[in-house]
Amino acid sequence: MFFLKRQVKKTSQSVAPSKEFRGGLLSTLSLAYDQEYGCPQRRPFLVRFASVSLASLVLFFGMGAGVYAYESPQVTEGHPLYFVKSGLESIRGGLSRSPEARAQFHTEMMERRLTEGEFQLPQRPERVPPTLDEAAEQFEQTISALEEGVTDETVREKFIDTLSLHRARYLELSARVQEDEEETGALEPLRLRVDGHELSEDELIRLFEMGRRARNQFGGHNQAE
Amino acid sequence: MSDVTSQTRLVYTELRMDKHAFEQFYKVNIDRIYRYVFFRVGRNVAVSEDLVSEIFMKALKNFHKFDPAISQSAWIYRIAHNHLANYFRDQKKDVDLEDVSFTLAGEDGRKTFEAREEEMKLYEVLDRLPPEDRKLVTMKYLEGYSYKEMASIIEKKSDALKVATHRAMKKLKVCFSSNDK
Repeated sequence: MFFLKRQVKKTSQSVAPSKEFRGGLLSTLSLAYDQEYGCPQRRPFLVRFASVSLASLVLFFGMGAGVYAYESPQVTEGHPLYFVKSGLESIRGGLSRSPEARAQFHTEMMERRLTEGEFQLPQRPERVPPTLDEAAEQFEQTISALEEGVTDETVREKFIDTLSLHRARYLELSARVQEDEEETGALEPLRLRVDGHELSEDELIRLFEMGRRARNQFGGHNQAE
Repeated sequence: MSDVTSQTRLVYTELRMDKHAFEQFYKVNIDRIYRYVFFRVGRNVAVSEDLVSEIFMKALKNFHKFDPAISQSAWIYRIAHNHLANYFRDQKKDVDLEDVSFTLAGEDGRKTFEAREEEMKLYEVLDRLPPEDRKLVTMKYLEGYSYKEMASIIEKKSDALKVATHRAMKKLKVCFSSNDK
């Protein structure tokens, strides 16, 4: 009986429609189904795969680029992602309504500008002064916000401590920019103004100080030699 | 989302689901229906393919009428049976579809199934069985239906069919042994 069953089964398996016929008929039926019932054709696998992949990539890089742009000090004016960063900062600024929230926002922005300035100094020193100006503006905005409505002494002190630290960083960075200008000869426009007697009193004092420091340096070197 | 859009989407989803259901239905039944037709048209591949295509096209056009409460196998089997009956009527042939002759030769000169010797022997033995027994053996072992499906097609209880098929196989074995001698 077992042999017989096996024999019949074997015969059954040998009688089957060819793969080509089976596949061809399925395609024909699929088309006929769409015509009969008006069902839109399923998009080809590759199109579905490409659209899903593209959406995933946009989402992945969109989110990734946003986070990177917002957090990185490398993203400054001229960077392709700068508009993302400035946009996100504007949104955050707009959402900071209370005086305390605004003070917090401007303190953080000042810190960001300082970090950016420190990052820019070795590579693009010419961009640091405008960044420092922005940091100074954020400092002013923080003070205004504190004066406007932050009455809690503890909170005010916390902000003032943070601002003191930022101010120290600001002064240090300003000094480094000045040194860099002296070293790189970025003072050529200043020399022209000296020759033309166009300097203000402050500028003259600063120039005098720089000259004194230079003399001290050279004097020290000469004595050592 | 507006009502119209959601309704359109619902209809679209239902259609897609129905299409998917039909494709599944096709995959489950194609081999059985092919065998059913193949052994009844003298094992002629070309004729079998034409008829099977027509049978499934007919099933597709009536798929919306199909009642899931009825066995799918019984439904397509009925379509195949009627279609074959029409085919033989158009050919002006008087054929009892249930009394299938396995040793019937292909007739129109097109590519026919070349059976091996042992398969031919099996067909000869099957032809010697009474039509009712032959039908049971064919459905169960050649076309691959389960007893439950056979019960819905033949409209008999599956236990009874199980016993009857077993007896039919015993008879086949006797015929096979006597054929060897």
